[in-house]
Amino acid sequence: MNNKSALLSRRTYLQGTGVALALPWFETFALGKPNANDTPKRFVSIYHPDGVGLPLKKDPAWKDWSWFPQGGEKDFKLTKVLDVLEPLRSEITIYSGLSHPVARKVHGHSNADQYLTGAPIGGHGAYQNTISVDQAYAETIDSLTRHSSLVMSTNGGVGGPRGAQTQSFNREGRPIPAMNKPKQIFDMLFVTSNKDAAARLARSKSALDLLIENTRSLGRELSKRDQETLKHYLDAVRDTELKLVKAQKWIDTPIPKVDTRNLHLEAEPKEAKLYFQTMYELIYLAFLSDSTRVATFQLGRENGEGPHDLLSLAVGLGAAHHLTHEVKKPDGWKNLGTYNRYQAQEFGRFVQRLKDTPEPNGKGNMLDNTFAMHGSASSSFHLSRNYPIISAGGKNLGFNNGRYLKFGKGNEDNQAGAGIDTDSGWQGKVEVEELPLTKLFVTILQRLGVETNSFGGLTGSLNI
Amino acid sequence: MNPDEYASLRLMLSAHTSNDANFSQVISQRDIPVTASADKPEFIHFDIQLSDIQRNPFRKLPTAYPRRDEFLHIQNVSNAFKGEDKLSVLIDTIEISAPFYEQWPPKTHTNIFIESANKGNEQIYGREVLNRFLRNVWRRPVTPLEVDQFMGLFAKYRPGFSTFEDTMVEVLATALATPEFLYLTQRVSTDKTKSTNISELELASRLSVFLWSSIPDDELLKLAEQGKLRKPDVLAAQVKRMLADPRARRFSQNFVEQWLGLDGLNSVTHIPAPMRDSIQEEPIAFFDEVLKQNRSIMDFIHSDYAVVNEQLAAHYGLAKIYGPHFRKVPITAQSNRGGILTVAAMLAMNSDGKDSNPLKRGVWMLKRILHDPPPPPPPNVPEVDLTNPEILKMTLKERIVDHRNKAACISCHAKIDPWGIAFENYDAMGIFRTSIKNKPVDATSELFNHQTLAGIDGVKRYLLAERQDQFARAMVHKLTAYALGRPLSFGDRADIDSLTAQLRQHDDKLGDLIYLIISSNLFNSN
Repeated sequence: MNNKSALLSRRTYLQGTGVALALPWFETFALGKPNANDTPKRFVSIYHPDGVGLPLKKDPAWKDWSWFPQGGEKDFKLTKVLDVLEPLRSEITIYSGLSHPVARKVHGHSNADQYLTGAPIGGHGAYQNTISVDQAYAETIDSLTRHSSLVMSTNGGVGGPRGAQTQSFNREGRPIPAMNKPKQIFDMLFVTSNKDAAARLARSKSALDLLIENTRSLGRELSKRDQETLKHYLDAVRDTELKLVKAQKWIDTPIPKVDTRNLHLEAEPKEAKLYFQTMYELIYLAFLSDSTRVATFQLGRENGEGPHDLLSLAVGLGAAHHLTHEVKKPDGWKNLGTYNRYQAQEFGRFVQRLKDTPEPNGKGNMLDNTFAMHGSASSSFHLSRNYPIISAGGKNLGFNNGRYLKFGKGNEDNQAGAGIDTDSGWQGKVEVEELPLTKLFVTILQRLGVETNSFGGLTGSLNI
Repeated sequence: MNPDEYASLRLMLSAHTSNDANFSQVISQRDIPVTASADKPEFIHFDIQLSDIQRNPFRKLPTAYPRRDEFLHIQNVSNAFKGEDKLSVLIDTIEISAPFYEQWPPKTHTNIFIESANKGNEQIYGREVLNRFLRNVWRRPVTPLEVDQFMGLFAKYRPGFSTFEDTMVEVLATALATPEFLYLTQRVSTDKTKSTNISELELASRLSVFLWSSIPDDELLKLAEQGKLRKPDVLAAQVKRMLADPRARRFSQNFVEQWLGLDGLNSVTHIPAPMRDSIQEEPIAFFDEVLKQNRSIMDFIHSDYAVVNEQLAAHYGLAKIYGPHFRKVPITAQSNRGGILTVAAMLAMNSDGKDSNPLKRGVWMLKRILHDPPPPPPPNVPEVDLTNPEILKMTLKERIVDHRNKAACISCHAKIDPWGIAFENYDAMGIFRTSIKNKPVDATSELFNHQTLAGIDGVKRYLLAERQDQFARAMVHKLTAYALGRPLSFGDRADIDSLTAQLRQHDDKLGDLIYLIISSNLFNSN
């Protein structure tokens, strides 16, 4: 371990310094060049910790407060947890039987880290994550928008290993810090002119000038073969120049003016409703102004505490994490369901807003060009299986909604692991078959225009 | 204390990031054996680079949540950890000192921001810093004009930063993006009458890249600048010094990884994770041993010793080897080891996960050891049809013979297969076996030239009796290509032949070969 970091390769070092020079062997993804004038394709993922209520069928609470719908693909019936989405029925899809195979026996408290990555982070020992699906998309459209992605969470920052407070991880598997203060997010998106960026840009330009000059004088003294190598180097320098030109473009582009009526920028999580709606509104405005096309939002960290636990105040309930522990108390399932219902309601409000807004520069409404996903990496009580996932929109990307899609085998009623409230549950044997969630990720990436057939080391997509 | 038992200490750091969510890591470089008795205690000392450790990111929070705790564990790693007679370590005192700096500011800092009487004058001091830094990263003296360029950059950056040092760090980062740092360059002399020898400064760079995978240090640069590096006695002393330096470890590692293709270990999945590191390390440690003791390269084919740690010793059935460090141990013929042909790395990476793969092993022998790589398979090779019940019934060797008899395949396979079949006594993890599925192992094969190979013993005997020249030449070729950092061409043939002849005269000694290569025409010319 010590060896490795002491012997940072030159490439690694260059990445870390001020000069972001793309060296020849550093080839970024080959991709079908996306065009700024195409209708935007967007991705947003909302993560909520603590999973959902999953009572046993024989429990009187099952009928109303089990999270998953009841019935078939088209004729499913939403329980009281999700019935707030009934008006959007034709715009949403609900999934069951998906999870990350490597996480199925990992405690739910460690799981927010790998929801979008599928990495085998395990439950103990050394920690290494991999790129998250939002970033895998963002890096392909990096140049099209001012911000390559908007990463938000209620707790902010990166958290710690197996205690993530961000959903987004870069190609090296490093966490991308999440923003959590509405005012800061708003300023970043719509106010700050970013004087720093201008200065950095000027420095990079001077550095490139020097490198080109230096390379020229060296070139005269080199053998033919070395001159060829130097040509590759110069190509890389030119690529960097192009990137700078693009960056300059954003500095010169006026910051979009947006309608701030629905924003409560000083809201804090304890004013749950205002905070929630403001954060969603910021994603909406970022999309509307095409400031970014990728967003993630994590509603708190696993294992509770911190600001997000207060979100359940919105529906008059105590700390959110405790709701999962108290399902066997009177009204337990109902309380957890009520909180999940509230999360669905806010998601629905956001989805509706996208649906009501015509695409500013393209076809259909904004929802048709956005894949919005809402979910958790646990179903019932720390159980890292059968992730409860809702998606909305994406019609123009090729998604058909109004469906309840059940994957895997042997768990048609979502009863595997239902009703547990002890740790023997999440540690228990995996007895039903589920499909890797990465298959959904591959489908999403493909429909967003990324050429790939695998993610997180697993090949294959969903036929949906 | 039972002489077959040992106890050693290991340091771990772990932290909780939530209830039921945690991480931990081994932070000590190696386990340190405890040899003192209770009445004569001793200090056991660990140096840990704090910046290399993943800490608990919440450790400085004012609130008790998320959890802030961190744990430093002292672990007793012992082979006697069960039962009544377990080996306990008595610890009297623990002393932790952190942060610990040998000097402040640390050497890494003062090497760049050097001591100078001119520290007060940014213009003069800036030039001094740049002079030294550029000389180091470009591995040559720099001209005032070149320093001007970077001082120009410094002047542009300076208003954006509050301190001299912050500004200079940005300027130095640019120096690290110059092609002369990133590439090994050779200047073409405009004077055609001069020899085609590389300059002494270029020699210093070649040496340091070859033996250290790094840039030359001050001593090498100084000798080169003074024009003394090429003097035979100076050069020999420098090579000796460089090989004794810890950086030479990178040479063993990088060269052996490339020579033996150890990255092949990444494409097999059947090696249990705890064994991976040891398996990967063994051939490197073996090479290191041959190099440091200046032994014959024929030891790679067979040796009466192995270089193993406890884990591998257990894997090979060698008794009484304790602890994680690699060391040379004598072996007998019964152990069926010796040399690098039978190390677990080679045998495991050339397997298909369940069983040995004679084809892969044969190709490996030809490519890596004999430097006689077979051509790639022709297009449209028919797959072995495992749905055919006749084929399914055959043993692996019979299947190979059946496949080989197809016209499109025979010419190459006749060359490859016999080498691989001779390794059939080793399974997919490299364990020696005498039967496969209750049938006795048949590891006898016949080479294209009708030479019979009786198992691995036969291979080794044949190589040592008939193919020493070929192996010596292969070794010279691989090492020279590594030293030059380029593939060898037809034009290099005479030099390789001559180096091979010299190596044989030097009793095939690996250490001598390194020096022969370094003083060769090839290494010293463009």
